[in-house]
Amino acid sequence: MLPHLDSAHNLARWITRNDQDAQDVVQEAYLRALRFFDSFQGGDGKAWLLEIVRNTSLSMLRRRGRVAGTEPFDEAAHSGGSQSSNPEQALADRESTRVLRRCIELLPVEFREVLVMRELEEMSYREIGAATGLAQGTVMSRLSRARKRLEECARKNAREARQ
Amino acid sequence: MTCSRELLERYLDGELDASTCAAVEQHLVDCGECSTACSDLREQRAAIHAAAPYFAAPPGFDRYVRAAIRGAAAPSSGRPLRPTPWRALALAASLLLAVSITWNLAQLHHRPAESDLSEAVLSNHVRSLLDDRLVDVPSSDRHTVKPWFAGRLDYSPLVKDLQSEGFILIGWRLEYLDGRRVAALVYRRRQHVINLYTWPAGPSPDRDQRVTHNGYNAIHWTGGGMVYWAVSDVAMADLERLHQLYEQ
Repeated sequence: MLPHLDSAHNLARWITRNDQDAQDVVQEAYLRALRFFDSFQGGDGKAWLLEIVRNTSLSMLRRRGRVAGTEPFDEAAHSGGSQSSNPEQALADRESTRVLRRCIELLPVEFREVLVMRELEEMSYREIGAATGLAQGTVMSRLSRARKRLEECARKNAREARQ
Repeated sequence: MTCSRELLERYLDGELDASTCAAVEQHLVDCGECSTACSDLREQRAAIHAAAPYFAAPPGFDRYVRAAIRGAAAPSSGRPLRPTPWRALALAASLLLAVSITWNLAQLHHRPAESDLSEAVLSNHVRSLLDDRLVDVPSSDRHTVKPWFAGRLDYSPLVKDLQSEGFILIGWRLEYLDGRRVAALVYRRRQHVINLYTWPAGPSPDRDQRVTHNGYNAIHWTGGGMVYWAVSDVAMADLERLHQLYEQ
């Protein structure tokens, strides 16, 4: 297994939000890693590789003009048409999980990437800083804003789903 | 302590030092509002984990990327799985890289057998940092090293506890080098990882050497019938110190 392949794929998939793009990004990122290996001075291999994955993902989004992440919340595509059905608890849970996932996907990429690195990759602020080129204080405040936005997004859409 | 959502988040993210951590925990006992905010944040984390799938690489993707890497490095060998526009660039760069490694090592070595081995040792060290498998056994107890290797090697490596000298044993693993299974002992010096490889010396052991490449230092010596290679990004002087301590 190539080192950190799952992490590389996970991050690319969350940034690009598309399976095929994620695979293209990861392939390109490993080739770049090979090319830039001279610049690797030891230390944290995962953060170093994810920095390349991140930059490769962002330049792909930029090429496609998709960096803003401003799509509207597509209720029909993500509610599963469950609005009119009997609101049992299990269904409500599934619904709120679906809403939250969509909220994460809709976060602007600068919030989404730090959230994924922290919550799914369980990286420290220092490691996230190394992978994104951000100061640790900035990592902290972006994470915090990402969490607040998720709270608001989930609350707003839960309310709309009930109406 | 004043109420602070930022502090709570850093607390839950495991980013506080021990004393601040204890202060936050005390505050959570005293302050109902922060205690509620803290459980909300914990709930949100659990909800995120439930809602956000971990997109592991699909099955077979590993082989696919390896093929792309091989395709970029040697385009004549086999048909690439997909046309890749950056192939030419990558080819040029990887050739350059190969040339620069060879050239740098050639500067440092005269005997080809030695340069092969030092290259293998350096790349093993780098790979151990990139892989998740720095150690097979995380342990600072040198007395458990020999029993672990007993069934895995046909020799018993010498392992020294050098904590008082600032070399912290963090574990060990089995490696394959110089055509045989060898012991890799992993020490930490400040924030740096040192791999110390050791195996029985052959009939005509290589002379001692010092190698520097891409910010990594390696030293090699023979002592007590054993070959040693120590590799790290610490200063050469630190590796020399390790060498001295093992020779004592």
